[in-house]
Amino acid sequence: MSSITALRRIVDTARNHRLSPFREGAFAQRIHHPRVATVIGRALAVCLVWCFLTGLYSHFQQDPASWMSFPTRPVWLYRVTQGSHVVSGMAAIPLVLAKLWTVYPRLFSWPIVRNPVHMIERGSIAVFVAATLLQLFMGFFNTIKWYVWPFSFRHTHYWMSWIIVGSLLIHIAVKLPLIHEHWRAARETEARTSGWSRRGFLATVSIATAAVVMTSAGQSFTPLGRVAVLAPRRPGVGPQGLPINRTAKAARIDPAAVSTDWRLEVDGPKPLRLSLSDLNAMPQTEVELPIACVEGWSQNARWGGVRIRTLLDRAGARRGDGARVTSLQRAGSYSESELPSEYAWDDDTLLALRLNGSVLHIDHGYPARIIAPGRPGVLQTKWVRGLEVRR
Amino acid sequence: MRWLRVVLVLGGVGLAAVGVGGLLTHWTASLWFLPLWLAGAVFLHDGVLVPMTFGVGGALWRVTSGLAPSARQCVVAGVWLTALMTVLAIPLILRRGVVANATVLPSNYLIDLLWTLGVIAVVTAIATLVRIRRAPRKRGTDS
Repeated sequence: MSSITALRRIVDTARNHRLSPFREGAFAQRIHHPRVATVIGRALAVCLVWCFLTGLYSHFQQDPASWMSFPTRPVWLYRVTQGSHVVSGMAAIPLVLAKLWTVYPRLFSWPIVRNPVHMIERGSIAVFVAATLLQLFMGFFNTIKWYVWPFSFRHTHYWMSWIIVGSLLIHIAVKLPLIHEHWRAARETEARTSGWSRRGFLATVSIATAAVVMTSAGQSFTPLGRVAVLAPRRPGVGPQGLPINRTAKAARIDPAAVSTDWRLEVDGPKPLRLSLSDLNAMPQTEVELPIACVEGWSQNARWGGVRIRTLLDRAGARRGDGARVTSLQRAGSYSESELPSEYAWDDDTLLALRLNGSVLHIDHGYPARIIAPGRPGVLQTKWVRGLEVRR
Repeated sequence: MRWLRVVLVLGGVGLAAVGVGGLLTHWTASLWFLPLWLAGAVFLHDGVLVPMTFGVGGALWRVTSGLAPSARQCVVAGVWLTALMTVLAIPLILRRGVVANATVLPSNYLIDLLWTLGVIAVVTAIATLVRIRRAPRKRGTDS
């Protein structure tokens, strides 16, 4: 009996002690209010869902199912999807902090678990919160190439996104009546007291979110480049005025392999072996296309070179064939890429030899690189060694 | 609304199952650390960060007790904005120069942060002064 009394006393203390978060009225009610949670929550939901959709697009660009085909226009499509992926992820950071702060008192709701359904609900929220916090942290740190976790970034970030959106839907289902009730502001005006007003709190969260967006969007939205104090890339910074993701050194490019005896091998019905001067003697095309990285930064540039379709034509390929691009790159997982037919035969897809009017810098892929409209930077293979026609 | 909720729950369970299934079918030994990192994220947020904001927020609220409510909110909002931008800038400052690629983190992010905090301080000060001047001159109603 006495152990039960002791347990009851502990529970009683947890429930009623002046300093206990489980105490009734431990938190101010006004800004820890369902209306605030609804307003911040719906903005956060938009950011998370947008991150998920743009993330899926990026994922399938890199890892397409056999039946998939992608639009090559507008040429800035990937620039926008991936730039906004990173920006909405950044915007989600102040939003998720404010949202969790608003609902923090719910963590100490009493009784801790009412029934099995309530237990599942709380469990799903725990998964949702944990995965979202870790996801945003990993995404942010990926943009500065800081891999402090022991598991693969890409796999974990991808599969966790499904868990996050799934648990978000469950959370919305559970809270639907509450969301519905507080979707619009209540008509009665707030009582004037000295604490935080709801309006003031929401204004603060909006300003914080706007500040994060303004200072991080500049790496893909060039007009904001000057205030991009939170962006790991700056427009115009890099060889030939363009940032790079993998340097020649990091890719372990052998300078001897890119010397004058470099030849482009085009493997098809009529194989070709072309020197740099052969390529320069072919019809040249100039295009303005963005380079857009999976890490969110992007920038337009002028590229000059030979159309891939011209090369495929000469190698005897048929329209509708794709190509595999191989690279001299010896390190890293992108030493090969696939060029599906919609990109391979596009007028704007080049084997680029020049960037912004001069010969490619070695870090931009000298002697030749791929540039195609609307594709992730990792697939714009640099230091091209050969093309293989693929049926 | 009942049907919508059922659809949302089923859809949510389905999507989450895709994610869990994907992790399990592409399992690597390093993923054993994932639950630990997930729990760590919740612990750091719920157990450290939020209690800290309540502590700091409470202290700020007392310090600014002489101000009108709207001016008080301005000051505290400015402090929160300062904290947020600092926390987000610290990884960039620490990471600068570590990546062997001059186009990653090309700027001096410490100087950039100080400029940002300066702008926040000035804007906060102006907004606070405006609110103090606009507030009705009445004392003793603050708690």
